[in-house]
Amino acid sequence: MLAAITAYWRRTFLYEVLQRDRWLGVVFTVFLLCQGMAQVLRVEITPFFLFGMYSEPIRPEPVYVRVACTVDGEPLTQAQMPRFAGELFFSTLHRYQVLHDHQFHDHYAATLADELSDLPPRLKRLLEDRLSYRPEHADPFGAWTIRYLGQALGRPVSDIEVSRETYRYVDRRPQLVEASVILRAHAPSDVEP
Amino acid sequence: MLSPDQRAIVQRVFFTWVLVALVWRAFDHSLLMQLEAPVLGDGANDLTFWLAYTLGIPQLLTAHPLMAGLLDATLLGSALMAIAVPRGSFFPRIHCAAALLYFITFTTWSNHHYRPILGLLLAGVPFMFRGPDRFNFTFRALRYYTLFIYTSAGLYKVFRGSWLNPEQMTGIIEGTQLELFLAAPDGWHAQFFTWLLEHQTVNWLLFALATVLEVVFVVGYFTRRYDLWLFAAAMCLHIGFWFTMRFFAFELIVLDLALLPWGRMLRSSASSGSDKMVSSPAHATV
Repeated sequence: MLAAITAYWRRTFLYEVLQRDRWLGVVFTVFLLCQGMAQVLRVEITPFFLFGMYSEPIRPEPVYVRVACTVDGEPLTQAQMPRFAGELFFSTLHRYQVLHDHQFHDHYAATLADELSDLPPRLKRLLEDRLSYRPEHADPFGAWTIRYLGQALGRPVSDIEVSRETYRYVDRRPQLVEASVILRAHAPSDVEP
Repeated sequence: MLSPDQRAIVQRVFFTWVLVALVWRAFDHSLLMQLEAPVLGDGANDLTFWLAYTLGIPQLLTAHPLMAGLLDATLLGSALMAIAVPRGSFFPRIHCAAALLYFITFTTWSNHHYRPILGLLLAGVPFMFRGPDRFNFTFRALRYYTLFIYTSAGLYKVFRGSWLNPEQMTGIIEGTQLELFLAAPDGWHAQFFTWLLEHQTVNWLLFALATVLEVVFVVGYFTRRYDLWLFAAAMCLHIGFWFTMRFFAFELIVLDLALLPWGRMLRSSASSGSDKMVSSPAHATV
């Protein structure tokens, strides 16, 4: 049995690299071990990625939330923007909507308390302070939405209104359940949260 | 093993793909200078992103147009130069460093852990090594990593049980295609999604088929004999993802190129370096 395992090991790519280029072999081995640990601990630390998208069992939800955006009185959908700009802009609005839902308490405090509780309190405070959304971000965020949309759409933008909308599927078609405005921004930087 | 001549061709192909992806990003207002100094970012749960954000790296790289422009120019310029100077390793090294900074910065500000960008980073790694042995080993390692992406994606679905969940695709479609149903409800894609929602067995079968196709990549760890089939499977998956999720990971496809039998494909064109060339063995394990 041991002989078979040894013979198999000697046919592996890693063994070949370790034999012919020790330095590179050690780098590959360390990478493999770190990737394995990331898999086991389910912790993502670039460049050790987990590729588990859509692997958790997903069931239809009673309602779905989206953010709707109105620019100078006209509705703007993600499809009307260039692909990557649309993804960036609407993902950012979605993050803002989640923050709004949680009364602007960011997710970092909970993650630090639950998953990184062993860190020294000073470091946890520093991380939470540096990473989390703060009320003083509101004005610059509104101003950024105006600037970025103006750039991505190639025309000046004066007013933006962002709404949180809830939908329910009825006969495989989404039906609006409720909507509420969560952000208004006006050029150059006036924001009403 | 790829000869230096073959390596030069492969480097040109890989970096041309990367350059096209970057130009696409430039047209889509997604280079750092075009982000207009964003203020709301998210490092998700990635500790490397946390570290970068705490140190102020994404903020620094986007707050000042000069810094952002410098990184954008380095990213595009190094890819271009890696094509122009295909035997050198200097520009691929510069490119990988710039791509890592771009990956962390853009992903932080996009508030969405969008992984396909890592194709722009990983595709350049083998070309960072000038020595033929080190390049060939790293190129083979890239192939194994590509296999790992698909295999682990499939195995997650198997071990978490989602591939046996008949409502999986229904939940995914309802959650991810809400925008399409509202924006273009009468378009062919929305009609197709509606049909899939009406035929849950079919949409579940598609999900199960994708899982099987992903798990099949484990074969590549034991032999290279089926690499062309695995490449075809990867293309089918990407096409399938676009039809069933409207998700097209152009930047990640560059990694699939590592599955192609470059040694055999370039045998005739690189005949000048044939004395150094050894055909790819059909057997490989990791």
